[in-house]
Amino acid sequence: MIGLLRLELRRNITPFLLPTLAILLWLSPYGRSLTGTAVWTRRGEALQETLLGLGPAMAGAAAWTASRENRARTRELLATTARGGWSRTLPGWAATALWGLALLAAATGVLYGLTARAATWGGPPWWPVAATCAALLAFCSAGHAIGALLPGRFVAPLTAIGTFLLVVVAGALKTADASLGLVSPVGQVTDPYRALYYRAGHDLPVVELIFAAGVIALPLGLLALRGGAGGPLVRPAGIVLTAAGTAVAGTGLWLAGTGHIVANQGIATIPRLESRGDGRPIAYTPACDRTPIQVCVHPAVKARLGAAVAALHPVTDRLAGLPGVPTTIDQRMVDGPSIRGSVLLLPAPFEAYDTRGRIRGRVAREMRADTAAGLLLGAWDGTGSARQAAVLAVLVAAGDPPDGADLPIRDTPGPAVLAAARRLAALPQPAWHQWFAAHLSALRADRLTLKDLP
Amino acid sequence: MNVETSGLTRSFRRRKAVAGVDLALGAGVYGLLGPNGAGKTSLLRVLGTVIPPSSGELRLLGRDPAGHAERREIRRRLGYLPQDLGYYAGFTVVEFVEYIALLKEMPRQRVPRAVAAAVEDVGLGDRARSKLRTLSGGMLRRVGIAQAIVNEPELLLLDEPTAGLDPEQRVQFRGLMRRMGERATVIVSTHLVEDVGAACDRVGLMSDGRLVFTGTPDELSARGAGTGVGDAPLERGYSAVLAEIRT
Repeated sequence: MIGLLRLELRRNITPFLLPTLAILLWLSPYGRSLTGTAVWTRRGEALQETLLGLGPAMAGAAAWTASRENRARTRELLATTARGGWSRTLPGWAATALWGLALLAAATGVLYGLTARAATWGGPPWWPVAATCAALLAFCSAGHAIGALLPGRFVAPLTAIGTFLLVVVAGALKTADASLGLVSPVGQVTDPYRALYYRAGHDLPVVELIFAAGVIALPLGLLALRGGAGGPLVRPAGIVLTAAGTAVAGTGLWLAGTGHIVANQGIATIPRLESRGDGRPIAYTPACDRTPIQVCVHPAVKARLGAAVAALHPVTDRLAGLPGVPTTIDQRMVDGPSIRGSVLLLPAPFEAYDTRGRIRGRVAREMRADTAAGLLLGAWDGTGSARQAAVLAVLVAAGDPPDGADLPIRDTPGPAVLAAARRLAALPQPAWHQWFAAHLSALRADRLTLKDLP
Repeated sequence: MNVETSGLTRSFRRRKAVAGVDLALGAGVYGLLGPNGAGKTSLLRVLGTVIPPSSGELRLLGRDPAGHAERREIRRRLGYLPQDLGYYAGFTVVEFVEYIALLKEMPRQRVPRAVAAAVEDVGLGDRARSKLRTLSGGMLRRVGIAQAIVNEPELLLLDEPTAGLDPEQRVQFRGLMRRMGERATVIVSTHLVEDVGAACDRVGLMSDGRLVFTGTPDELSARGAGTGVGDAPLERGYSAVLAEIRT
């Protein structure tokens, strides 16, 4: 078997697919994640998303190898050899699987290696790696069975295309919160950034792994049940593999059916599993800068602190030193802004963490708008003309467009609000400072109207 | 006896491709002649355990191929060259022969030497590392012969082995067959009567699934004396026997 495996490894089609697979990887979330901040949870999820391209490609490669006897018309010759059909083709499956695993190991090595160099918090998540490996083997098994049962010239591309469509549908089911879709290794239901703040557990990768283990065994078992598969031991082995594969895959589906997504924590829980992704907060020491209004972020995104401070500087510079304005901005996992003592808790801008370089454009403007509203008013429902004008004035003074489009309110403010904001923003800095110092409490209590603004 | 058949038949639906063949063959080279559709290839496929017989008795290398364990043992000692040799274009000559050797469950430590010897025997030593897709038809036929003899089979079944070989290669191949026939049973199905005359100890002539003649090449030649049609004595014997059957 070892000799056959070595031969199959040498002549496997997968190495010829490497350039295509490299392009697929680069175009997948894997490639995109490399340009984002090095956050372990984010990278672990991106690794699983590699299956969107890698899975169908490996299924196609396995189908190509399994259909080889029919394509090359070697079946008659090989039928006269001592090995039965099942054990004869198994090394081909194993070679494809090993090449796939090697490719996955290389992709994991690159992704996790780069992450290890740049990450500022946490450690590599290994459960997604295990689930991805199992899923890859399952793709190889399914492709092998299809290639062996329906041999033909076009079975490989058709298998790859069919598998891709299946993966897309399964991923869509998973994303749509359909419980059974949780067995799909592809599809985003959990929030990798939320997982920085709450314990996410391993329920999801574990159930994916269980289902994949079943799918690995089931097709191989079915092939062993065919006529001419081999000797008297092959058929019992096929029965065992088929039964075990069905039971394990069924268990995975059943477990997934009992699972649900905890929306406000972005985690998936499978109550029957003991890994308990219970959503308990994770303790951490934030990374903070030393500006007058200190900005703090999760240590995992420490690399983005400088960019966040730079994006907020026009606003924090304007409001620093005002009595009653928080002296610390803590970007964390909260639904909206709130002031606790001298600390403003702000929703972490994950979109800004996901980019490189300076934070610009809409993302930066929205960050400034949230920060201005939070620093001035704390929790705010977006109503109140004077309060809208005051927040907008800070943004206008910071250089943002004076149209209020980025204000955290439902509708664009009316002309009167815009005019009042422009007037307030045009005040000289001492007068501006003096007015806010005198009226901030009243503004927060919504006791001012537009007429009260200078 | 390495091959023993009695009343061997093989039917494909209503047509009997092999219709009651009796054979008892020991070591030596046995030529199988006959017109197209006579049943030569079907008989070789039955003897090669590719397809089971429809009826009759069959023992190969002293074993009954109906049982899995015995069939497996037979296949370990069997060499088979099908009429239409499929091959993996991306494999090299050595890899393809090695692949078949491993499938025949040869001990791994014996494989490299046996593969090298088989490749040398068919005169492909200088192309051992060439991909099969780069070889000519004659060279591919020689690869087919190499894979058939790699395990030093006790029963060697060759279906038109010399098709596509040039005269020099055919002469070399006849020598190889004679050497193999010294210790193994070699059954060669062919249309080339000169191969039979040069290399075979015995010859069988098939027509409509039946063996209509069994004897030595000289005996077949004698059957055509004065009556047969053809340029060579064997051809005349061949055509005389067939004409006799048809009338």
